[in-house]
Amino acid sequence: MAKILIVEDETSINALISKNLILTGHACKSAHDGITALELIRSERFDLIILDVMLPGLSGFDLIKLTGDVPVIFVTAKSALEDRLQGLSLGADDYILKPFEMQELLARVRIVLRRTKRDENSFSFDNITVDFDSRKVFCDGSAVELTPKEFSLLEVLIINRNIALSREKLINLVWTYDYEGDTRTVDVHIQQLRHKLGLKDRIKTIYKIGYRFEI
Amino acid sequence: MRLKFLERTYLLTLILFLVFLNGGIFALALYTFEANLEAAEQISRSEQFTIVSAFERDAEDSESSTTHLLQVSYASFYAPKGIYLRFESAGEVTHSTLPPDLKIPEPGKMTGDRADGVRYILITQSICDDSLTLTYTKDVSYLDADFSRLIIAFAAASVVASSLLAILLYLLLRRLYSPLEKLSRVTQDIAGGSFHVRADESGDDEFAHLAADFNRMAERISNQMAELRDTADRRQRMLDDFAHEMRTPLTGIYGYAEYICTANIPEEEMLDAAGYIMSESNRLKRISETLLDSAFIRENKIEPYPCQIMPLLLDTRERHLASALSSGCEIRVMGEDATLSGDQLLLEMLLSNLTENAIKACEKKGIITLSCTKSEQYITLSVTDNGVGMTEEQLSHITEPFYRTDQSRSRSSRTGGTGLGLALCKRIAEAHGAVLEFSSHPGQGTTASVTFTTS
Repeated sequence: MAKILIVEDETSINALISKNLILTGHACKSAHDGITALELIRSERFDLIILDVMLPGLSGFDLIKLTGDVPVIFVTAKSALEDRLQGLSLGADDYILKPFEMQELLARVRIVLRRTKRDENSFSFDNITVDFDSRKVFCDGSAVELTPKEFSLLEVLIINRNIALSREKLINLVWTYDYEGDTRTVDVHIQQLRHKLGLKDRIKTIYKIGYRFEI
Repeated sequence: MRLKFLERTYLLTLILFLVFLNGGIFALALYTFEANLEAAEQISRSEQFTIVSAFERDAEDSESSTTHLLQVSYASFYAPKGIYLRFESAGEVTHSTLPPDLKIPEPGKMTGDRADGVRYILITQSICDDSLTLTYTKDVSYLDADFSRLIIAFAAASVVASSLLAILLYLLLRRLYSPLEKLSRVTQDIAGGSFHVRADESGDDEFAHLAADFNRMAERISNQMAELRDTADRRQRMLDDFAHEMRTPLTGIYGYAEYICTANIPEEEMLDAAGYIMSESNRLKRISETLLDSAFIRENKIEPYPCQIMPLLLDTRERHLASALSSGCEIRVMGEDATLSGDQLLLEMLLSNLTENAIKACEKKGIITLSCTKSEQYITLSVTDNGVGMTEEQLSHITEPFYRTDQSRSRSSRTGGTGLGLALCKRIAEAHGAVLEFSSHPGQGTTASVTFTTS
């Protein structure tokens, strides 16, 4: 769980990002203008800042100079290349353009948090502990044997917990983009996970969409 | 650029000058030669006369048997002096020291002839009561030698003068053409894209005038380029803004739809998300409607009807009273009634937009004044507020589509609009042949006025 500040003047987008991050197990604070954001940064400790560029009061480009060593992901509709370069040259950890898919944002949040070692390296639920560093799963303290693909699938489901992922999305995230196999492979691996870890109630099949890890 | 014109002028001038110079020199040499020849002939005539007189006198004094001796002695006396004599009696040559092959002229005549390339003057005359014919011949080859020397001297002088002339002419032309060359360099620079360079305008000749004209042209071009660039910038900004305006609601709509579809959430949160989708869709709808209105006004000529202004102002006040009250403002209507010809609906739209903006600009206790003033030629509708005001920079952009005075482009519930309102107002004013103007001071408020011409 990471503590994330969302700075975005568009109320609906701010709420949307916040809702999704909370679902996947993060704690969020929202700011709708640069000044409020700066006050929050000065008074609280954050693991990550999601920052819009055009903000009332203080722009994202100004704000990033005052964030210290907190990682920053820019979220903006400004598509010009020089803006992108400016964002990265100012020390942003990533740059994401509107409109974006929520899974994309979540994936980037995860990557930045992992890189800056601000995310947990393990996740526990029920009687199960998942260690992301050693890529091992323990059930009641004893190791459970998973294939590398099964582990990756579990990891992706945990990262996007409470959010349904389509079979195609899972193939993209777990297998490679040019994977030739059909989506039945996903079903087979999900069955394996449910069977090996007793996750029948946790990994739900969502009608017409795919699978969701619920917690 | 090579100055072809300079080269041509130079070559033609030089050729002309050389032809006349050398022609002149040659003519002078020829004239001198002719004059010398004439002088030599004069001398020959008087010499011949002396010789004839002396011979006739001596022949009278002597016996006829000694005439031949006399002839011989005269001939041998004059031969060393380059004068050759020939005596002829009754068609028979009695004595001659003449070189052969000379053409003897008729008695009383004088000719010039050549033998072995040497020039002679010949004079023939009958003497001693026509019993003898004397041919006087003089070697004047020195004339030809003089002429050759003269030609050589003149040629040498001509070569020296020509070279000097060629050099001086070149330098002179270079100097005369240097402004043209400079101008040509400036032209090249401008063609290469440096529009800031200017030609040297000093002096009062045609080149200076040309340079001045040229600079005026360059000035105009660079101004127009700047204007074009400015227009392109505005277009680009509008396009960027349009993309932003479309993307932000789309991101929301997609995101919330995705959220509803995929997230494990209770029903009330789903309804929340659906509410967001609806309001964002509404915003897109408003933008597209305003764009359509704007396009419609541009494409169609309005049909003018007489419109009463005062009811229009009161209507506008009525319509916005609720929103004004909720943000703590009041709306006043002032001025006199007037009638102007226009499209009632569009004028309503215009006033509504201006009033909405005025309300947005106001804090609590804001006062918005709708007024109409009338003069002989003009009717002016104005909307004045005492709100936040705008800077010069902001004023220059406010009628651009999607421009927002707040750089954040905030669309929060209080100040948010489509960003197209004033662009539409400008269109409506233009369609009525009216002028939309703004005056504003930060912190003091803004006045928007639309001036219609009535005559």
